[in-house]
Amino acid sequence: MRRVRRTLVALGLCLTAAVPARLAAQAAAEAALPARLGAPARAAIVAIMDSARAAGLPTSGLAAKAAEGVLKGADDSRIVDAVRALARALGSARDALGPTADPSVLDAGASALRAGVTPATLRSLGNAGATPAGAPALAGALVTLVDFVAKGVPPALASQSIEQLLRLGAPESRFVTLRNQVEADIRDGQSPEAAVTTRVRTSVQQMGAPPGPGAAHPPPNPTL
Amino acid sequence: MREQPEDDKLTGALAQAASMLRAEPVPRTEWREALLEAVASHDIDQVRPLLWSVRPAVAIAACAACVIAGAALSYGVLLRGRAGAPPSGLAAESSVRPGGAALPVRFAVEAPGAVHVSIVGDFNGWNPGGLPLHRLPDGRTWEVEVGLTPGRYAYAFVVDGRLARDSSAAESGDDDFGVPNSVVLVGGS
Amino acid sequence: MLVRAVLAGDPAAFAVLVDRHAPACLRFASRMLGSREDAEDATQEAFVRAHRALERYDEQVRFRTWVMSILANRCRTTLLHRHRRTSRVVVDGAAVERAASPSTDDDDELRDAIEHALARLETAQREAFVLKHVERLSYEEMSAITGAGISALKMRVQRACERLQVLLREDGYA
Repeated sequence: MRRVRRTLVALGLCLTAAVPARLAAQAAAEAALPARLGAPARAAIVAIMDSARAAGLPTSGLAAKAAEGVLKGADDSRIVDAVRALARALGSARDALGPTADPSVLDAGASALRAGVTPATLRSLGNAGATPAGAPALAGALVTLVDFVAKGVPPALASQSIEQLLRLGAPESRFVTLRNQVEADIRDGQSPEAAVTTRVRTSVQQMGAPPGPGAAHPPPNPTL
Repeated sequence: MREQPEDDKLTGALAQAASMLRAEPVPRTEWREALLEAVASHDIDQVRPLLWSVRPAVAIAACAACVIAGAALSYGVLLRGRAGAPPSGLAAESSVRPGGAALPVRFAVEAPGAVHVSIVGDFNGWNPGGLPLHRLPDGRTWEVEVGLTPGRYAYAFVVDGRLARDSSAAESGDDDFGVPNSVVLVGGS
Repeated sequence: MLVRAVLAGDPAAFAVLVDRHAPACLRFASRMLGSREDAEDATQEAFVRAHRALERYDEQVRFRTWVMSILANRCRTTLLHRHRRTSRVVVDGAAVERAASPSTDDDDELRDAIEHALARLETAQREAFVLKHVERLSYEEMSAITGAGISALKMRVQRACERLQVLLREDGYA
């Protein structure tokens, strides 16, 4: 019990040291909300950001979303809706990916949800990504997924491919390479679906695994 | 100079453009001297034959890779170690991106008549004042270099107060405001 | 032979090699990287590495081919670690407005157009196009420089030309 308490105190001390910096950063983010926002919209967005922060969600993207809306001349209610939608997506991403998910993973997860990936799929990807390759690989995988869906790859195929690589322990660099290869293939005239299928199959083979869930495995030698 | 042995000759504007590209630049004197000096200083180091040599750039890169890998690993361990603790504000600092070193990304735009050009995007909170571009001596090209960790970023240019997209970049799908952004994927060719 | 002279310790011999091959190397690197400054850095690095590896140089290979293969690697590494776009601004979805300053002549515009178009090719295609149609090398030499097979290189050159023609046409050049 004493050890637990000591650990908690130590953690608390660390957090206390960081809290003033954190508060200052968040205050700065709110102060950075564009001046052109009307007072009601500003108040609504600050409230959304406060809730998000209390829930342990990253909030800098929310302020950025408001800034984007102002730059694009959107009216205040549309901006508030957009910020709220993003906050919800971040919350759903955290529900799917777990309370210890890294902020960059949450951002990427929220993008994936907004691109049409289902929460169940995201949860499955989060589990697949619990490998030594860790948060960078999962963030990289989710970014790749969003990219593929944006390029027109059917979401189910994109998710399955990404999940397969995650389960094999692919590091972030593997996903970076994959994105570049698929982009180059599409520019060379291949369909996005074909490009992803081919490149993922090659990647899987390079990682030393059998080619895919549908591949036939030779039966074990019966004489042994 | 060899003749083109194959029959894949160019035609039209492309042929003309290719011949323009063939102009050989004249090496600057300072550049040439710096190169010869770099080579000569290596000669001095070469007094004793080495069985293997580590070039400084490779050594620095290897150290940097180790530091980054070490930082990423330790950050991952730190996260796992906090599994029992309640979510804290520290974890919510989303400017930290583990596992990625920032890569220099150069954005350049031709805006000959412009007075002020900046770039806005996911990487700078869509702040139009944050990342101004600098006009090059040709008077038409504006550029800025931004350090970005591998990922996918939406962005746009702000030219004299008006939002402008990058016509050579991919477009994002629906944004939230009916105005698609340009998209850049960092971490590749 | 110059390389032997360098290895024997003749200080002037390497300068002759640089003078003979640097212009073509700078040209190749400029076309690959789109910037004179980056081209100078990459070319300098390539020559320094070539000098350090001179003992391993195989006289069966042309010196230029050998140094360009080092340079091609440097360029690919540089491109991998940076992202480059040069674009024209599209404001409010309206059509592109090109600079129409009176002092710009047609040659300058075509040069701009091809440089922009080259920058928009993916690296392997750009490299193949530049080696084939700017450096005017044979496919055998290109294969030695890039490590790619000849039929793959032919495919890249063909696709590069097709893409460049499309891009030039978009700019009003046929």
